[in-house]
Amino acid sequence: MASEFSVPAPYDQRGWKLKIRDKERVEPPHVSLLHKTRCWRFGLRERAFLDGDPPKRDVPGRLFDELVARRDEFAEEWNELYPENPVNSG
Amino acid sequence: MPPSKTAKRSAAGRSKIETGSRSAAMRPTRLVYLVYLSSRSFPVTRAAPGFEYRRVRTARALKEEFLAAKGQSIWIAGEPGAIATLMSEQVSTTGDRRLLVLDETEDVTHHLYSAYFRFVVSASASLRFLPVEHLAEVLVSPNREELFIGGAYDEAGDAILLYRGNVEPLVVPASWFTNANSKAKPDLGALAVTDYGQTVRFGEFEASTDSILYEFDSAYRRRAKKRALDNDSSLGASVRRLRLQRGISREDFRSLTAKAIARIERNEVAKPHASTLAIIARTLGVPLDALGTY
Repeated sequence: MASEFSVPAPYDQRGWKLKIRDKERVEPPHVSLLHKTRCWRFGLRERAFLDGDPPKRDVPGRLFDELVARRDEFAEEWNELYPENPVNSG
Repeated sequence: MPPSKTAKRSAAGRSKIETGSRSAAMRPTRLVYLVYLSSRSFPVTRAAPGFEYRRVRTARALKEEFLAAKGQSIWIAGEPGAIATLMSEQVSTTGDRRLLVLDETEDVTHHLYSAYFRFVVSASASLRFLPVEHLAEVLVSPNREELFIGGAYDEAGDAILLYRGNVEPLVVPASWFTNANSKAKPDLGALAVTDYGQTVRFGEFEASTDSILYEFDSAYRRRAKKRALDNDSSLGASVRRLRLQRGISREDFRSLTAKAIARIERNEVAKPHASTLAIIARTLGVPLDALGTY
């Protein structure tokens, strides 16, 4: 079952979503921050965004802080869904 | 439907065509909305770089637009009858026109449209589109070809047919949508595209559009690889990514040791032997010359 994580207000009402879906690109481990047609992959090993586009500056600072603070929660979910490539194996 | 305040009448007599924004920086993809014989509105509300937005209201304007379309154009018909005019006239069928019909269309009509448009997607009982507000957002998005707008499950072929925001189809084996570690099992008949085209949902089971395209679209893989900030373009990184994506362990490579695979993945082998690469490619199920693209 896909994991959809809570997003702090007011960003939840503005359409931001945090997900690890049942079928993701397995490497590297990540959680996806979605907003409309854009997606930022937050690397659970790197503790940073994996891609240069979309730009990091378009993510509200509070949401980025949330990603960093809850990294272990995301990693636990990731490891359940993708035990063949756990976060700590890199 | 009354004309909007932005309706313009050109000197050339192109009546009742509304024009949106245009970027001079790149050749625009034209987004043409046909409201002829349609009572429905379409929520393209913002300027989109690289797009012209036109709303066509009359049969004459429709024909003019059809003939004038250069390059890639995406046409949206609120209902099948919106483009019936084209069927009764001799118009050129060359060009890269793509048609999206929001209402259900008879099979024969769908095939007829295919004679005029390079790609045609029309709603049906089994093909579901994004909600129209999300659909409009995807169609003018610069990464529309990397987002899905709708899809259907074909039980006979056991395949999923997905359409991208540029109206091009992609076929994915239904059996690919699985994850033994997930509590959810895909309910293929409940297919829905969500999250502005970024997720394909089968009941409680969700697959990211990114993972689908990465697996089944080599051009997408190349783009994804190129733009990743932390991208490691080495052969070893490709082998590791592909092996993990396939759920294959290092012990599964016949006649190669796990240690040898690990060394290749860490790029500790400067130039792996051709026969070694052939075994790796075969085990991973990819052409040898595509091994480095993953």
